[in-house]
Amino acid sequence: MTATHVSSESIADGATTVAPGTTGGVVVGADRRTGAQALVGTLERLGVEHIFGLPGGAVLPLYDALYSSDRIRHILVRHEQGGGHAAQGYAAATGRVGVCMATSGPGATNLVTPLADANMDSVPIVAITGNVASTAMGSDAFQEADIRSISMPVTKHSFLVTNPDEIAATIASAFHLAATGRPGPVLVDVTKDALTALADESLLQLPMPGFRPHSTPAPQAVRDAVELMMKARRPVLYVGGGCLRANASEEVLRLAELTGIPVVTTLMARGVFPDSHPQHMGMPGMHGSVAGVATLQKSDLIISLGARFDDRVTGAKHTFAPGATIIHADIDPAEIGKNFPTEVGLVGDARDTIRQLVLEWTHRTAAGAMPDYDAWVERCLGWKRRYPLGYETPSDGALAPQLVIERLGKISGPDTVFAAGVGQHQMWASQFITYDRPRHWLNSGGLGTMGYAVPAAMGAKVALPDTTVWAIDGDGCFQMTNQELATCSVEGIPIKVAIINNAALGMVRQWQALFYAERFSASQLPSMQIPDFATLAQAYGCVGLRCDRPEDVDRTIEAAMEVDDQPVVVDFRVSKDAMVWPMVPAGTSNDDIQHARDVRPEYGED
Amino acid sequence: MTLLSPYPPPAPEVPTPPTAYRSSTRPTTRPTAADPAQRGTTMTTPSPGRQALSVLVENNPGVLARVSVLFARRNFNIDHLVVGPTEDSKVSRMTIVVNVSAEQLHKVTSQLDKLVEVIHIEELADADAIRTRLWAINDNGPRPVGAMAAAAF
Repeated sequence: MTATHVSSESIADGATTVAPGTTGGVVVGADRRTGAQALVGTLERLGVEHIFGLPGGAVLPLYDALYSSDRIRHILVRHEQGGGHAAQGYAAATGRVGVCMATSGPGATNLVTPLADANMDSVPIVAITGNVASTAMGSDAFQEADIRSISMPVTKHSFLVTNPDEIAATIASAFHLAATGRPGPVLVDVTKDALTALADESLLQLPMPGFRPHSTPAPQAVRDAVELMMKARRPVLYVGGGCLRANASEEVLRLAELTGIPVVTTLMARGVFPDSHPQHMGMPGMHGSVAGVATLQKSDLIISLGARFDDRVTGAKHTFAPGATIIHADIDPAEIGKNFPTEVGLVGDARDTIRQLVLEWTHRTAAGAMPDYDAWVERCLGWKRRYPLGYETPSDGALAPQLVIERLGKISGPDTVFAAGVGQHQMWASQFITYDRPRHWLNSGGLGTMGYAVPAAMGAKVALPDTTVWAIDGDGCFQMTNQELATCSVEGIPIKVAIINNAALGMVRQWQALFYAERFSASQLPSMQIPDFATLAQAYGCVGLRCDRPEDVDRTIEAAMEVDDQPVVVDFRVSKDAMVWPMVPAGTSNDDIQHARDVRPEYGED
Repeated sequence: MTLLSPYPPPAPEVPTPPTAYRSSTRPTTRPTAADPAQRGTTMTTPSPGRQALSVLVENNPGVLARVSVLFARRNFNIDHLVVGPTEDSKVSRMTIVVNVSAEQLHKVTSQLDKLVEVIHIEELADADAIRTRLWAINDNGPRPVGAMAAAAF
């Protein structure tokens, strides 16, 4: 660079009068940047490539700075909730931190649902919101909402930045917080005056003396855990979403094969351990497989790896696995002993923890210890053989939703990423698709957010443009966030959507059929008539297909697979009477699982 | 000039507190047996489950809300909460007394420990001593009168 070099920025600076409350659209100083520019600069420094957002008054300075960034692609969503779920899908499919952006007030409050969802499922996302100028805060200014406080109970942490000098450090810290330890959502709320003022960017990271994530379990705890595993006769590896977030699938496989212990994977962990593996007993929980539920229920030692004993897994708490002691490995110390008394707690990263368990196990077996689980494994396999997952074909010739999902899994192949909404279709998608690899199954497990599928699939497709991404959605769920199809069409994000259209809020209807004497209160939707999903899809610039006969399923899916330059929506009109089985009715014991309606499996004696 | 209504208007009628409140043998405010004539608010029977926490937090706006939201989420009622500065201007100390079992308290402290702005937590052994002091502060504050007192009993 020569001494005479004058950047275009400084020329523009000299010529521009900066209107109050704006940056004037250009850089204001030769070496100092505005808060908004510092924010965008920090995002670039952190390697952010995609942001899902929607602008508004309070974030205009930030969007102005974003306009001149050529390293960040901003994807304009149609609703902030869609932006939030897209960031979740992006993060869940890749393990990177997803970023969403919104303006103050309603923009920010629309992000609350994705934040809560990400908090429940430990998804690393950073939400950046603008707020009114700090001088106007507390005055009930236009589009003012105290989002920092609103988001407190549903985020890992939330920041409010009023000082431009702290913007860069806060953003960097937010990314660190979101991705480190137990991942989770972090919100950064920045006031408009902080975005427009000149920033001193010398502070790179906030001190955060209270944030001390754990990484490695205590050696004594590892020894105790392996000792329990050696003594156990009926152990089970209860694998949860933590193993997914920690990229521990290889380690889980290694531990399972080394020890021969049967494995169950939770809804959040589908794919962490291959479904096709002989040691895999299926998913535990309310709609888990009989083998999965029984293996947990009849075990004498539960080795929980990054799972959290959710009520949907345990059924009625006081009846859960009465003979079992618990080894609980989790990166979050607050999870250990939260729901059940724990014999050994292993606080640390799942990958690290499992490696140490493997090491200790190898030492013990080399020294001659050889536990014998054969009888137990045989019993588990017996359950698996006797009670496989299945479904009845509707007698009236209607399309079975399970068939659609099963064929979808088979035809689209093992590389496909599936994102599901919440309800019957979600359970079928977890049951009838074989997941052999992690990060190929995205769903809203903890919060159960209807409308998750379409935007999450969009986020995943942005992150993995060469991968086929199917959103499996219900007709109810789809109508909550289908506006993002416009985003997909305009931004060139060719996702595929399979609507399992049973003209009902299916899971609600199922519960009403089973527990409320078929009084279908407010659970019927006219989705066979309104809306016409195929024409709706076309209105959004997508390919719209429809299928209502079993013999057309394969052909329709193949037609959808052939489209790769446009989003595709397939309206599968399925039987409305299909139910999800097996089922442990809410509030009852896992012992009362029904394999099919009113069919209770025989567990055999203990 | 004729006033349409008397000025100043008559004071609104103060609801009469229940008799128990007025009797000289009313329950004392302090956990220790105190002079019944002493002023102060009444307290329900002390429960053995009272626990005291001393929490060091970053001195940021919103920390108090964050901590109290966490207690509220578990439906814990905070008996006493005192926030004060420490010798480090960036750090404040919260002293919290809650009426829960030790086991429940442990669950809430492990959640509390996760808050980014919480630096250190100590479960205080002698909750009673703190409670006595805190009650002394309470006793010197305004006491419920009128409608407030009626609502309190």
